Amino acid sequence: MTAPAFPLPDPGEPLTGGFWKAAARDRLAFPLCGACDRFCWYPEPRCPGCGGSGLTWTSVEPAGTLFSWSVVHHAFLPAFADQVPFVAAVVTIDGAPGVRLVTRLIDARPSDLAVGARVRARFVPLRFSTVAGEVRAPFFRPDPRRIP
Amino acid sequence: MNRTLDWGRAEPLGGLAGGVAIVGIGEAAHSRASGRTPTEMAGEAAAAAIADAGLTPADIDGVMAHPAFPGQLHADAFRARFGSTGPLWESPLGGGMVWAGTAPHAAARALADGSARHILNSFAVAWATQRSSMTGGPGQSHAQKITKRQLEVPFGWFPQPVYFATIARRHMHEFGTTVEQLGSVAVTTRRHANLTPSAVMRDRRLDLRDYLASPPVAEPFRKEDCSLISDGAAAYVMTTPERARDLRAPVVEVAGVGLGTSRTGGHWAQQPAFTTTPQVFAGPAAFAMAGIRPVDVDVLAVYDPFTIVTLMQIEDLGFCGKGEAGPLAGSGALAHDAGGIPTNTHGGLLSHSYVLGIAHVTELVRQLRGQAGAQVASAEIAVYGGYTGPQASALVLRRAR
Ligand SMILES: [Zn+2]
Repeated sequence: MTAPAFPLPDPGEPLTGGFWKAAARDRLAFPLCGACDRFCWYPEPRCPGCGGSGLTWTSVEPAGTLFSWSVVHHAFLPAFADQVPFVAAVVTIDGAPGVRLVTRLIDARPSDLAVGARVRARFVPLRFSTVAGEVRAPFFRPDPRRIP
Repeated sequence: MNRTLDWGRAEPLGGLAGGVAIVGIGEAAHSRASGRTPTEMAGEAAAAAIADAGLTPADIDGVMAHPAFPGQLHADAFRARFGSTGPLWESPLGGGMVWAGTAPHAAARALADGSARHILNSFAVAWATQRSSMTGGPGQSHAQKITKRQLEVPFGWFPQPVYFATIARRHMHEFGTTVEQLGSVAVTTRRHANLTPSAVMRDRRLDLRDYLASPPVAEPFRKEDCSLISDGAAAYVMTTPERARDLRAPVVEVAGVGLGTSRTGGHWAQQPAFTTTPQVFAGPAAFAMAGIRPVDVDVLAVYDPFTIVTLMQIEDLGFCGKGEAGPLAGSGALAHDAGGIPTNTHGGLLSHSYVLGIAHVTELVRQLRGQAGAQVASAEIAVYGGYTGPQASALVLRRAR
């Protein structure tokens, strides 16, 4: 099987693929250092905290808080031309201290967005009309379990 | 918000050896897509800077250019352009961005140890031409980095305008910065460009109403919040303060240099101090070396790929408290004639040219000589704030008495 084409991610990429392999099973996972119990994000071959190489992709509750976002109107890559406007976001994850996850926010009106809003992952197929295939990805939406 | 300063450091640069002065400045025409090559434009800027110093190409025995950008005026290109055959000291510590601010530090060492007598730093880009042929541009190198390509691009968090729009949104949340305050940076900077003959946007007016009516690119940014993409080049010639006194231009001495580094590298999403630049490390180091405080500075030029970066650097250099640059800009204090902190008086990357900061330095030299378009009255001390993301530099320039 050939790797998905840009801008799709490649679950076979050694450093980052664990994120996408977890997402394929509707899991949100980050590399956790077995030695110092610290999440290492973005992935690196060795833990920047202790230098250890015992990093394990560890699933966490896919819930967190909106850190910041941008409503993107201009398609900076041709692949996004039929997706704008969309909300590109950075969220912090409750169960993974120190992790800031870049994601896409869905099911929210931009005028309702606020820093600090509770958000929860919804796993959806990521597709682009410019390339074949799809990769399951954690998008986030306002947490339906919380009434704002 | 991260108020502790454990996320980066000031690099231990040491002093300026026997000193260094900027004695010649030059620029190639700044333009939209022009078909010119970087080497051609860098050569044009170099020729102008050498002539401005009252020197000839044969007097230049040192060249500085950055290896990461194609077509720069390295030693071979310098020889090919000017037909010079003598020994040429060469350094990769030159160019634009942070290096436009730190090149004088490396030059001072080379002048002191006799490696060179007259050193040229230059930088050129042809990104407007390259963009029109889809062969390059500021986003392309970012798309090659594995972590960005695999973990940011798929979600559409790419390229720089989206990173900095997200930073701006967070700054608005933390400090109450408004869209109108971002707009005031764009408007004031444009007004400076309107007064500067070499600015790409010299004939294009912009007021706050135009700004607010402009469609969003990546909210909260409109296109006026984002730097131009242009072709162009700039260069400056350095020598010792002693030799500078024998040359024809008013002497502009380097009084301080600082370099700050964030340990999180080039991932904006993971920057612990999300709304702060490594200028918090570079600025104080440069000011200490120069023996000045922010209040002593007459004119400022900061690397401004986006309006929010102007605000962050003004804060991080200590011209106001953290989070206070929005109201400062909104009050009009960045204008060349407002008696506040005149900033980017040539129009910056936003409205002058996207030559990555080296034209900020040539503008400051013009200011200290009293030759700028948007001239600040009797400017004696000028500061450049360079920025790449992972690093920031601060350069303090002083008109010799
Ligand atoms: Zn560890």
